[in-house]
Amino acid sequence: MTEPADSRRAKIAELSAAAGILLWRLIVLPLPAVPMDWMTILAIYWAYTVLAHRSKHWPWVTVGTMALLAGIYLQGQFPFTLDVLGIPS
Amino acid sequence: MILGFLAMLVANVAVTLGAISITRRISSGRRSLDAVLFFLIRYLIIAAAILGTGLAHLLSPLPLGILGAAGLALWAASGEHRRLPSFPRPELGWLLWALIAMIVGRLLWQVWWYAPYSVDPLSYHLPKMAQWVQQGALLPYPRADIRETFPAGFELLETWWCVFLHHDVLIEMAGVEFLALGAAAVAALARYSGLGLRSSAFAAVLYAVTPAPLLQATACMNDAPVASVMLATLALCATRSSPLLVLAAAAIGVGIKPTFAFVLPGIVLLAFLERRSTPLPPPSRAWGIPLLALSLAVGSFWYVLNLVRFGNPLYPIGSVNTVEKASLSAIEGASLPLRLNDLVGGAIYDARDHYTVQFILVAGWGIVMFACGGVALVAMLRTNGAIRKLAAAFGLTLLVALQLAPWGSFYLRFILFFPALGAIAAAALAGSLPRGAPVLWVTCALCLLSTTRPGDLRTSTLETLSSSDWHERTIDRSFVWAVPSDATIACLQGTHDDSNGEGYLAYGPGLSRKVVFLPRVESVEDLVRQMNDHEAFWLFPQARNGDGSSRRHILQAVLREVLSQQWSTPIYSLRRH
Repeated sequence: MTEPADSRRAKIAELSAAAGILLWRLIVLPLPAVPMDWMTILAIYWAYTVLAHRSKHWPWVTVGTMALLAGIYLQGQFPFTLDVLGIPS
Repeated sequence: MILGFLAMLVANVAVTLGAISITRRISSGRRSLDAVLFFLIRYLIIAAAILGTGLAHLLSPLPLGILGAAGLALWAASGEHRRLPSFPRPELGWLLWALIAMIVGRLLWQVWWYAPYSVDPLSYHLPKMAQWVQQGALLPYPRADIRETFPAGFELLETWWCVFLHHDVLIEMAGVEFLALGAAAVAALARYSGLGLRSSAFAAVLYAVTPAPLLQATACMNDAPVASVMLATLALCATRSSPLLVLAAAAIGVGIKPTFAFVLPGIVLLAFLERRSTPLPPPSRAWGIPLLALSLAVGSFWYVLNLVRFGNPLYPIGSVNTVEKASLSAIEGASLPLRLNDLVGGAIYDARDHYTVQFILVAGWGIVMFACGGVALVAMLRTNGAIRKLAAAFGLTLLVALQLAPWGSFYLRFILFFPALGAIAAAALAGSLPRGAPVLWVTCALCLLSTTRPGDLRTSTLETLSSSDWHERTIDRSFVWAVPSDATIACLQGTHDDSNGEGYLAYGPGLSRKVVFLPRVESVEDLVRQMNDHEAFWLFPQARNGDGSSRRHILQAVLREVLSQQWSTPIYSLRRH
């Protein structure tokens, strides 16, 4: 079945926006920092959602992305939480 | 104290019942908005009562208690007690109720055990509040700090919670009320976005556990309260409530902090995007116009007062160089890209420092927004038109705030409204993707854990607070045993660019000490003369406050043994009286 032109245009616009964000992050960040960057991960997830939101894997990828971001956040913030709770890290 | 407690009880019951009745009369029939209107109207009545009694030199428990009793009698005589709305317990599920109970319980625990601790309230928000309670009037100001003339709509509610007991033990209730308003507004925005009752309540809870608004709720800071009013105004606008109500909410916001204005472009955009939807039935003009007039009076009061006193509604901004420097808009610099990059590339990770309520290094948006809010926003923007419109309004407001926020590193505290969007999207995603719910609940629990204690409060300070009798509870115990509770104590006036002072501590938790602020000290002899003129035997020089030369004279006075330090406290006493 052919995709309607409107939907195709919207997809292209969204993919361009996600690519723009990726480009921005690649320009402003040192390369080793890119894989752990919040915006980079969201941009990749956005592109994946545009292309595959109807796939059976999308729910798992969504949950996995949330878990990955939670891990990245905790890596930096959790020592402060431990300190607040009086637990030496 | 018992009389004050009774007056507080009567006045609070009267204000609450009055707010319920007025809400019923102006309600558009949407229950999700009624809670928002209730908190706004409750605030409005309290603010008007404090301003009115403060201007009439009647700001004390008895007049306020009598006003409350009269209001209560009027309320009953008009038969309002027969028209009280029913409050059916919503079906939210035991887990959500347990979480709500935990949040409320912890907030109340903090209200009771915390004393004001953050530097901004101690230096310029609260000294005038203490002075108002002491003198039973709004004027004169104590001249504690050059910034004390900033709009003080939030301090009106703090005054309400202090004036009856002549004590600050319940002062944090003001922030808790505004957190409740913010949560109610998030629930209303979630309902607007098509979420069911349970998901909307979940969105409200997710916002309430966000570190920034949660920690500020008990910190006497006004950034989270103004964010709550921003969200309330957006909720009224999104649902196409009467412009009278939208304007009334905006007036209240401007009266709390001028930075409320950052949301105005977002409100205009949202109104434009919703221009074709059906407006909600407006309140009758008999209620709508007086409410708007009262909101405008309460909100504009501080600007008019500054205009009359100093010829500048925004005084000291634009009039005094030091504050002007610190408040310079970033509009001329390339701040927007820098701040945006700092926000998404650094501050949002909350990994640079503890969550302190100043939000200088960390955004305080928390793990829910970081891990779930962004992902959910990407997912829901594609399928939910209402969330798309909200995202446009929130996004524009964020950009305006990042561009116009005052110069300095504390821009993060002006964007505390934004995690609400992530909370709504995350709750919506959890509704349509049950597999994501466990991650959301775990991050929610982590948010609560990570905010057990604000970074500004050391464990030892918390231990001091919890071991103190409630009537002597203050973060600096040295005042309790070094200075009598009815003494007169001199402080140096704050100058802002010379950092902050903590003059509020000198009043004591019972707001019982007389405090005089010395604008400038020319010499040791001048210091002694000024202290004698005010009959002040004690001096709290506030090591970080006052201009450099004034502090030097104090050091000289110590060296010449005119002043002696009270043991190892930051307090000095005159040797020759």
